[in-house]
Amino acid sequence: MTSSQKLLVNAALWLTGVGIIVGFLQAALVRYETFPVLQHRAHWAAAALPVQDSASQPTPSAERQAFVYTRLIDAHTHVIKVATVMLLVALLFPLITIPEGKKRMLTVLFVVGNVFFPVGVVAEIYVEGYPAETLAAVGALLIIIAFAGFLWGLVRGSDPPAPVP
Amino acid sequence: MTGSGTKNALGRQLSAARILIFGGVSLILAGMLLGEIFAIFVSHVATAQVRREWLANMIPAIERQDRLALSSGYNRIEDLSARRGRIMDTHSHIIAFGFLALGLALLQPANKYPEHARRWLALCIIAGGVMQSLFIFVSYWLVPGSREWALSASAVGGALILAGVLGNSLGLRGAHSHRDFAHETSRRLASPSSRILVRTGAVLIFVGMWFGFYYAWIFVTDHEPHQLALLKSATHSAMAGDSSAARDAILNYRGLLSRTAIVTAAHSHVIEMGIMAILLGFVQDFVFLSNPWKRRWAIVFSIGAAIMPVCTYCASLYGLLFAGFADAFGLMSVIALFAMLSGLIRNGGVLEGGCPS
Repeated sequence: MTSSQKLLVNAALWLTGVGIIVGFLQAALVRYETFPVLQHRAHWAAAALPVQDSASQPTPSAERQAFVYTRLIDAHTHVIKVATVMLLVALLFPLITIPEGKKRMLTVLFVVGNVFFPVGVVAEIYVEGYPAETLAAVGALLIIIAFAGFLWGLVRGSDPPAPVP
Repeated sequence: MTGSGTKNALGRQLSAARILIFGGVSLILAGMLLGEIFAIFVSHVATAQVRREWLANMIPAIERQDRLALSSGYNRIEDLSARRGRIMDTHSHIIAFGFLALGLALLQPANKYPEHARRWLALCIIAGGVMQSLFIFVSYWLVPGSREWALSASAVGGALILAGVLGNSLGLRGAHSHRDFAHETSRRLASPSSRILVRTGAVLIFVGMWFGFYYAWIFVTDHEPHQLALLKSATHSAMAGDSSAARDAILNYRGLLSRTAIVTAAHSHVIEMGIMAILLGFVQDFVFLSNPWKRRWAIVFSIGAAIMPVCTYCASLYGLLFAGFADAFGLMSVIALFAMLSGLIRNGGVLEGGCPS
């Protein structure tokens, strides 16, 4: 394996591990309830409190719950899914016919993107406004750009290989 | 007929790689079948039931300020949501574990640990995947005492997977540059069926990424804020005695939730089908079918994989007819996957019987 391949494989497996741990924490935090149930409860708590008690007003925290659950699950699923794609790209390396330097650069972009993206998504819970959203969007764009580069190398150079001596 | 022989790590009987390949494909197949059953028999029915519950019970209960009726309607919707959530969780997790197993199977030749250690790590991944998914699935149908036990067992399954991933990661660290790894990969992907699957898969992943990027913007700016606004509008209209406005708002609310779920499913499915296509491209060498048949099944899988997510997305715009098409094309991919699995089993039988491959 080349150094870029090793970097992709290692990053993919460690990010998968991080994704699994985030999933564990999220599951424990919500006592193993599933997203549709959490969303139903949060929406009801935010929208229907006055129905149950005419003096009450919907609380911002109830409104916020569905937002938080969505972000945590998004981070958990995306970090693992993108790590799986990273693993595949590492396996496809011999078929990607672009110079080693560019492969290295695309590898770094891919790894950085898959760190920025979930971090940005989780940061949206704590940081209001554009900074967190921008971080997530930049991360997603880096992932797409890196994958586009690898795809180009794959489509360009995926002729049948010469027989191994 | 093809077969790589027993020289490399992937071909050894009961090797870590073989456990991961058989386990991985079986997990993926189980996940896809569950997804099909969920889509056809559970999802559409549950969506209709929840909508009916809102219109027939919840809205009138809010109008009458009938807390008892409100509470029972709320609980019925929660129960439907719980069933849906458990099945969806099982479907998505079991397939993700299958992908992980197949990816790790292909990396086994570069793992520096001895075979017996790699075999234990492979068993951790497969057994953990089965435990986590199975116990999450059955937890919905269990009584509260047993449910906690099942959820703990699913957590143990998750921990086994984590151990398997981290163990493999350590085994791959500092692995020597395997000279044959690149040649072996190129050789493994040399068949026409592999190339069809790899190219289709890579393009599907790319399309899925762009679609996800586009939909994230729509979701954050439009769909997510409107969900709650519509539900609030429905409850306030019901409290004010305006049944018609409440019903319209609740239909729009349920419609928006369905649309969000369907578009998200289209985004995740196009990428998952792409991942699966590439992984299947790698294992074509172990599918004991003739080359023309492997190519046919690769084409069938690719057509199903490409059209199913498109039909899923169209279902969010044009309704149930396209959901039916999505189910049909998903089934097409399942059948192709099943054919490839049968080829893998035939390969395993031949190897274990000692015949040359």
